[in-house]
Amino acid sequence: MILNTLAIVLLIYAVTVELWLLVSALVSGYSLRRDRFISKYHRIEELLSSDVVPPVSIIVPAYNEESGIAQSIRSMQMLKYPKIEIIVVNDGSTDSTLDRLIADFELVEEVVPYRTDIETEPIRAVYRSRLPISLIIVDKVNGGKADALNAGTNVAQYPYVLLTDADVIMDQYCVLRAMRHIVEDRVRIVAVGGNIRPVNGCEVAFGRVIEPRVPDTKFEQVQLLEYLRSFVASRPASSLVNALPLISGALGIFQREVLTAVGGMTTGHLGEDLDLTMRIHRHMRDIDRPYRIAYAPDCVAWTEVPTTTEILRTQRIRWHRGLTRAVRDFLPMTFRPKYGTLGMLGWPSQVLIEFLAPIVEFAGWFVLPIAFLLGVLNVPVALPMLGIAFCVGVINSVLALYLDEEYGYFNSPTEATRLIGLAFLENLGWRQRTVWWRIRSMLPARRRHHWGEMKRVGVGNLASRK
Amino acid sequence: MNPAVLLTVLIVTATLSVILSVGLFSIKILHRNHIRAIGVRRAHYIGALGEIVAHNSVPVNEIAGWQDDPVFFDALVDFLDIVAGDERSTLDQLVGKLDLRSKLANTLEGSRLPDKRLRALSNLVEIADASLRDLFTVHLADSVPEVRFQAARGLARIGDPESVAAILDLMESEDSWVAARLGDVLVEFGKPAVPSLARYMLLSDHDARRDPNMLRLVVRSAGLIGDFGAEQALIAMLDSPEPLIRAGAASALSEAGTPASVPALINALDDSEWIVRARAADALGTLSDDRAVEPLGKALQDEAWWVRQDAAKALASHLGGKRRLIEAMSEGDPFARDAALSQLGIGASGSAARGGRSTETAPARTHPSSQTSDSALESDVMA
Repeated sequence: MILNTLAIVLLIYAVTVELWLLVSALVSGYSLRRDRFISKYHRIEELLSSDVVPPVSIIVPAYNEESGIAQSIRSMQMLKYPKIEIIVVNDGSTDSTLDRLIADFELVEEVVPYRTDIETEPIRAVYRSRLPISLIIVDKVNGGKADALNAGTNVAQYPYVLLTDADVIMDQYCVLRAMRHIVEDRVRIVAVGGNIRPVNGCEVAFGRVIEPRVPDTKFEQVQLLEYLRSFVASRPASSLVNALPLISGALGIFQREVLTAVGGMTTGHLGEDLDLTMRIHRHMRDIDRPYRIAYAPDCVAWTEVPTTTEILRTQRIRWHRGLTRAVRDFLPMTFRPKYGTLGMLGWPSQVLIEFLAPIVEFAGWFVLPIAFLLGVLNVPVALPMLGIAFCVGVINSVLALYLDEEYGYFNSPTEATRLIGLAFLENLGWRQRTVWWRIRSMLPARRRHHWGEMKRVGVGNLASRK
Repeated sequence: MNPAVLLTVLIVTATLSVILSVGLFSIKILHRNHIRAIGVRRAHYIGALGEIVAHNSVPVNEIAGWQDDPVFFDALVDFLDIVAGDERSTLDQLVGKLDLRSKLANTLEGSRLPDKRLRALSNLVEIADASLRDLFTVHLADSVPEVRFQAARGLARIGDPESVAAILDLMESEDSWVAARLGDVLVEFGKPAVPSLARYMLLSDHDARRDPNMLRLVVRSAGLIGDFGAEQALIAMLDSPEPLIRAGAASALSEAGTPASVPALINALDDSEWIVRARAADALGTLSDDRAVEPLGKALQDEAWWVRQDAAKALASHLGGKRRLIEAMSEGDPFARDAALSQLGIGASGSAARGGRSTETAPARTHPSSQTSDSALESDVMA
């Protein structure tokens, strides 16, 4: 009897989670539609000749990026934005990253006064390019990605900093579209997150995504579906009610003053982006200043997703460890009215869904079969509930694809069919595997992870596999 | 829990997931065909417009029906952006022959859909002429903010200076986003807008009911137009109680100022707000006046980082200032020395730099941004 009750409770949880995600997707749909109307008629290009938009410092951490860093910088130079400076922080690379930069961009060492608002590993030298581009290279002692971003923030001249990765490819108008939100409400908006999509399979040339495509392999396609569910069908809803708990580390724009006030990024944290966003929320609520953390779905940046099981496993374990630490750090904010919609909705959904779901699902793998084998499971109730959870999950995935249609990516019906098929099939094996990895991440770590060592195939190679 | 109810819910959700999947597939097919059709039509119009421009004549028989196709407008607007002189006149003839202005004006008046009206008005702005003045003026009072904004753009395209006052009134009632962009529209008017802007600034100075943000935008627009007609009003703005307005005025004087502004800007170097001091230093650098060298030299030891940097940059742009910077290199204050070194372009390997970098040798000073809770202040100034 107890086993049956437990099984039913687990199933009720599964259905509730899927229904919550369904509501989130519907609200996201409303938010995207509204946003689409605004961005359609705002003629974003007009902002290029306006000084309404504040200048932005783009900070790119680089650790052993000798093969791709020059291309990344050239790609960033092509961004359409009135005034940017690019700050590359060489975080004690052991390869020839710095030499490559010095040669390619005619760097000269300069005395550049910088702030020491955020404590970092020592800066060895600051270089400036002789070319007519606003490029600064900060060479510092190795301290990890977060430390590199903090050093870049100290050197940044401008009031807004864009934190990104060296391998991220930004759409040309990406920064302008994100900054539109800041122009709309410069006093309250303290941070804006971008929409991240997998670059795998896309046609890339001249540092830009020329032709967005669905990745070739099922392995990468499922990850695309996950990204869409998160970035298209969930974050717009959270942002609408100012309850966005996470700005992706791949692209986030922050008011430098606020970033400095919270002490920058936490070094050694595996989920430093989640940690930073949450600390900004907490800080703003604590000082009782009206604020908003916005999400710009039309600010699209492309990043490579893992292509092998081993890399994906490492990535997911890292993410979940970061989440586990964040849950521990920010648990007191859960269901606290003081933290507004974040405390009541955004953060609890991270804890109860992102963190708890794998544990509940893992328990379900054992409880349901055992209850069934012992003959105590109320099959006429349990089976339909399992089916409902499955179907609502599929509806959520298909809705994410619908919402993505607004942006006109993946127009081919064949590609859409592949993704629709995966919405059904991902529940058979893929989902269980990621649950297992997340469970494993909660077990004690066997080794330390530095710099999120994701082995990358490289954008050019990904495209050429087609 | 009733199994029958659960079963019904299951059947509903399963059916829904299948319907949505099939629907999505169908939409993808429709969308693809739609995009292809638009691409074909657009290519046709661009080719045809290219022919018209190249031959400098409008083939009346061939253009029939174009005015009913929104894709044509997009192609036409793209062309209008890149042509000038005779080519532009040819396209204007085409616009006249197709009677596009009346057609779009009818759509604007006849439709209730914001999307459709906005599209019509945006296209009208691109082909605006004096005959549309009344239409644009009426739509300054439209219920949709974007329509009001486009109407203001249309008036700016016509260049009617009498509309400036109406746009200033409109700015006061708009939200910050639309108001900021209307500020850009004022810049499009250019010199004819300056008397109205100057009057607005001078009157606002005595009117406590005026919104400071609004005044800030007007100050910014006056600076961007860069006409000396606004100089006296901008100098008066340096005494505003609002730091943002004072900083904006100092910035604007770098474009709209003459040597007559220099004493007021030198006074602003002693302002209580670092932002105003920094902007004044920057403006003095642009005006490059001998009288500013000593006050800027003093500003090299300002407590705020931005002020030191802007003072050093300003000095570097002036011959006498460069001498002052060289003197600063031998001064005891490491911040002044760093700012001087940086502006004179002496690298870390240079002998003068061996005295050590300020950030390493001197105690860390608080960044000026922490002196104010208004982050908009800094972002505005940096913009």
